[in-house]
Amino acid sequence: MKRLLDWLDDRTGYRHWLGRGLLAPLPGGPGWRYTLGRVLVFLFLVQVITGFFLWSVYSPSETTAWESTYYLTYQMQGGALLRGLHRLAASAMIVLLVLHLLQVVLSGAYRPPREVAYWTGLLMLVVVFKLGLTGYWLPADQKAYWSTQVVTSVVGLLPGVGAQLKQLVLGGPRYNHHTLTHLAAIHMGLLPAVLALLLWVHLAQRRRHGPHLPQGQSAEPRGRYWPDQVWRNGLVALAVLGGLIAAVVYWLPPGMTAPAQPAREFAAARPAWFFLFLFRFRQVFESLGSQGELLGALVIPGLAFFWLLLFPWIGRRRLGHVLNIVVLLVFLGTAGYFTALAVYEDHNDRDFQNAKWLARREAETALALAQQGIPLQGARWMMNHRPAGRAFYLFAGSCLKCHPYSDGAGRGFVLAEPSAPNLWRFASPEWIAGLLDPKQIDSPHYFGNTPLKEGDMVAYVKEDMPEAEDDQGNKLFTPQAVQAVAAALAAEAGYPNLDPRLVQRGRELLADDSSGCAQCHKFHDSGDLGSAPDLTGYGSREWLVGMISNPGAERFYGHLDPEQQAMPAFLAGQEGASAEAVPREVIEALVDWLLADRSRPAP
Amino acid sequence: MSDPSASSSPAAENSGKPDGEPRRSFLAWLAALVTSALALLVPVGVGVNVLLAPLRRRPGGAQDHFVPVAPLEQVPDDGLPRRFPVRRDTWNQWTFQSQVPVGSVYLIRQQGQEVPLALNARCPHAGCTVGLAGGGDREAGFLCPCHKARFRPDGKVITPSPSPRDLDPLECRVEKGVVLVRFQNFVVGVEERIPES
Repeated sequence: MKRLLDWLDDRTGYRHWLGRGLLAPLPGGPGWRYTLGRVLVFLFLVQVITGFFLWSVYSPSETTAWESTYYLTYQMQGGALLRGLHRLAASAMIVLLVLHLLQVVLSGAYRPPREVAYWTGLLMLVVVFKLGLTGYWLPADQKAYWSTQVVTSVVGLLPGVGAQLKQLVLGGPRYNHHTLTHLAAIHMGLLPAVLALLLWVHLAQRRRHGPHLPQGQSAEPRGRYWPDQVWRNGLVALAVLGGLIAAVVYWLPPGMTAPAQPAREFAAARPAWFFLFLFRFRQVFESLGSQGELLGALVIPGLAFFWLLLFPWIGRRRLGHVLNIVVLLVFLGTAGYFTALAVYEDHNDRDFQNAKWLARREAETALALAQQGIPLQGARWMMNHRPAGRAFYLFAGSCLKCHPYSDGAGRGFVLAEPSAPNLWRFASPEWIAGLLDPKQIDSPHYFGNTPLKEGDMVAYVKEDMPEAEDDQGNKLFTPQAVQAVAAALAAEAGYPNLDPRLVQRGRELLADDSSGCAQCHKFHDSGDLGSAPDLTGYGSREWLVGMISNPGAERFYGHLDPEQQAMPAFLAGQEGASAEAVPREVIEALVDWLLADRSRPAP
Repeated sequence: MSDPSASSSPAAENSGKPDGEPRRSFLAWLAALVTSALALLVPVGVGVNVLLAPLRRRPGGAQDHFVPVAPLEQVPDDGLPRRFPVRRDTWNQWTFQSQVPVGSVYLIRQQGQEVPLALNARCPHAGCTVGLAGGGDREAGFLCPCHKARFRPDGKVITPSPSPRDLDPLECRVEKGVVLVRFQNFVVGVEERIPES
């Protein structure tokens, strides 16, 4: 053994190398403060390792990027953990890099003779941001696609080379298969190699100049790098890793938005959290047009970065060092402020919350369809051609233009100015009870913003219903009777767990053609069509499919004047059908989606 | 700052302070080893776990039911082998496609025979698709293009041969004028006929 090692040392000189790096006495001794930089090295290794395995299952092309990411995340055992770890470790790297920068500037370790270590550190920060950016784009889901569009558009604005550079990155005039192969090559090959090179220089600097010691600490060697510093590094690395894995498992499993849809609106588009400050910052310069765009997104952040590069030169004097600390804190504070501002504004922006809700439902639709098998044309095609996908886009693009879909507590899709009744749990007992409430029927939740506000039903509920009496002169619509009618209609709609006696009582009231509902409405064998919608099977699958197909049919709102009849007919191939009209199976899929939603706790 | 040459000189190795008590030093050594190894092994384990996923995946769907291959009229009873693709609804990771060609069979019907002989066209040696020898001559049999394994018209291997066994016969029946074959692949390279899972 000894001879083998002697031979190895003779040929490689490893003892000298080990002695220099690992086994040499440590000036000033080991310390916890040195672990931060080493944990960053460790996280880079974690990214290289997890990245390799992700690489082995990811397929970069426009018809397979989303699909292979979906497959990894939702079909392969342990895939979500792998992807989640890679994603969160990237975020952790950014956080810890900023902390490391802060540590280096506060302690003055950036000052001569350590400029090269400092500069390579800053460059690594940029490379890690670029890795984060390209990594965010690889799944080719909605948020990735729109982020790619936005960033490459800004690049395209660069004077002179911009347009060419953009085409080069995209691999063509617009997003295509090669956009993703390019991104994959940059993310998995180029950037990690650059980072490794910078890291090598960065670490060699430490060997050149030794550890940076706090003022007043003796440089006298205590202990050795191995094992005295290594076990500290290892312990912190394990703690960070454990935290990341716990976070992936318990709080932040990796998700996806729906496959990219270039021809559709995606109002929930946002960059990754670590670019939110830039996203919000450039909005400040929006009024300046494309020049402002460049100013906010590239010029000012570039100048700030350039200033950071000058720190070692400014910090040679005591006052300069203090100035550097102030400047860095101002930079970080500004970034933090704009990040918080972006989050705060989004949180209070109803349109954005609506968009986020839609994005979530869109993703659910895509994932449910993908589980049945994605066609060879890819997941975008699947969403645009399968009935369930088309139904979602019909709902998002047409129904929600007029109808809200919310639980009244701010969850779901809330319209500031709805012009049609809320569809959330349509025809449920509480929905009907609200409709029959004189105070609610002309509210925006029901007919308040529709032509029906002036119609017979509103007048009946507000004026006649409270006065209606039976043969004996008793009030017909007591609160309990209203509940009964609500239960009976909900039973028609197919809601479960209704009180059968209440339903029976409600049916009698519905079928009462002398003073009850059948005066105007048809209900099974009672009443006639022609003056109000049919209540037979109200809110059931068949009723809903018919209503959405052609609301102007005699059975529904055929009795209204055409100008009062606000809802278009959505079944294609009939006279007067909406421009967004669809085949019957899409309407059926939409109704099935609505029916399945009835058993969800919140919209 | 410390003189860089001091730490890079091998002689400096012994000039530091003593490492303290041997027991403490051993503990530090152990802690350094265990924490470093664990920290690196965990991400490797997370990745290998995914890489091994194909081994845990159950074989997709029933592999051995009869599938329609060709109308009987396309297999005249002239003793000539004819090749037909076998199509099946197939999962390809995330992709689902119906009626994808998954292999092919030779159907041979001798004069007066009702049900054809069905042979899997995959060579039992290394899995290439076997072609017809001699331009489809009735007596010439089959020739594998990869390693020149030859088979008689009834699928029997002509020795010496790289193929360890005859062409794999498949169960075959005729229903309403359609030839149905219970298509199956068998492990290649071995004498025994073992169904692939």
